[in-house]
Amino acid sequence: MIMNLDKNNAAKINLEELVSKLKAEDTRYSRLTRGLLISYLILIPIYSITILVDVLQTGDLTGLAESICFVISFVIFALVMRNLYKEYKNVNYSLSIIKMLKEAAKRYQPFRFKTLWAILAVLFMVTGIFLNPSISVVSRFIVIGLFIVAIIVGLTIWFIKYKPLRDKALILINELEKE
Amino acid sequence: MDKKNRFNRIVSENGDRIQRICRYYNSNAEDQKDMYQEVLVNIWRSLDNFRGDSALSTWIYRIAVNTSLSFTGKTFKRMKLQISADTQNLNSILDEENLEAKLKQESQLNRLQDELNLLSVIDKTLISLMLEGLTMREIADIIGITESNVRVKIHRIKGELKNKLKGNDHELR
Repeated sequence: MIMNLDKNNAAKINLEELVSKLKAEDTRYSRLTRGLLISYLILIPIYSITILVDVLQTGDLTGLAESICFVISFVIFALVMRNLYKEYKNVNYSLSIIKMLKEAAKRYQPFRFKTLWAILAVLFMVTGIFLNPSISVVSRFIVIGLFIVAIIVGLTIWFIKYKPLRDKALILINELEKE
Repeated sequence: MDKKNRFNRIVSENGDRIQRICRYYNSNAEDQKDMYQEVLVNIWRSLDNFRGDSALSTWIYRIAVNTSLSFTGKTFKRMKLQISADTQNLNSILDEENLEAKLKQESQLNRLQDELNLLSVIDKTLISLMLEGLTMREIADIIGITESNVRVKIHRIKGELKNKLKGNDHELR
């Protein structure tokens, strides 16, 4: 009745290959996050200096406010994305089953504290757009519309893909906790 | 010892254990292989977090069961608990010394397997750990609930299984 997995041989043959792939992935991930961090550390000061020089030359304070809004928005987005990527990448499978399920239920909530940070980033971006006089009113509302569509798409994806996982985790937690 | 050597050592020492968990949760050889690989990937990813607070075997079981639960999420309702007459500690399910001999008759074994597959995922997980010969304390460590809660649950599952199998015996007679 039990299918013969015959892993003793198969596992030994594939193990070296698997370890090489895992090590390569670890290196790629570490390079990627380090690369992103370095890019931000270089680009943000350069952009900030450019803004300052521009303000000193033109005295355009609205332009300064607009640029600051964009910089803050990008920084928050970058930090939130980095944090989310790390969280999903480093799911700890060695926790006890109930802890693991609770973590999963928390991870798959539609709105979390991190979501508020993302909303704050969007608000800064929208403010930046509204402060830019070269962007027409129609374009401003198109951008806002796109943000709303993005939120609806995000919630739809959550409902189809992640809500069932969260519901399943909550059922299992409930079953485990009842005596 | 570097990560690669630690990983290789863990896999070579616990490969059988992981394979059995994969077998419990999958009837299909391809799925067993995929799950085995998934467990190895998660062992690699969790290796840096292992501080030796629990026994290595408990740590391995946690990863294997957590992966199995996530893995079977895709085919949640079709999850099967595979057992055979030579499965270790089979008699611990019903506490009968001659159970193994009885179950060698294929129809009895199939009946037990059918009943086990009607259990909830959590109950199947508890049974699979029991079939591994783990103590209540170890099962409680892996699941993350109290030892007394594990005892209560296992006692209930055993009672239900016994009643169902007895009921089936009467129906056949």
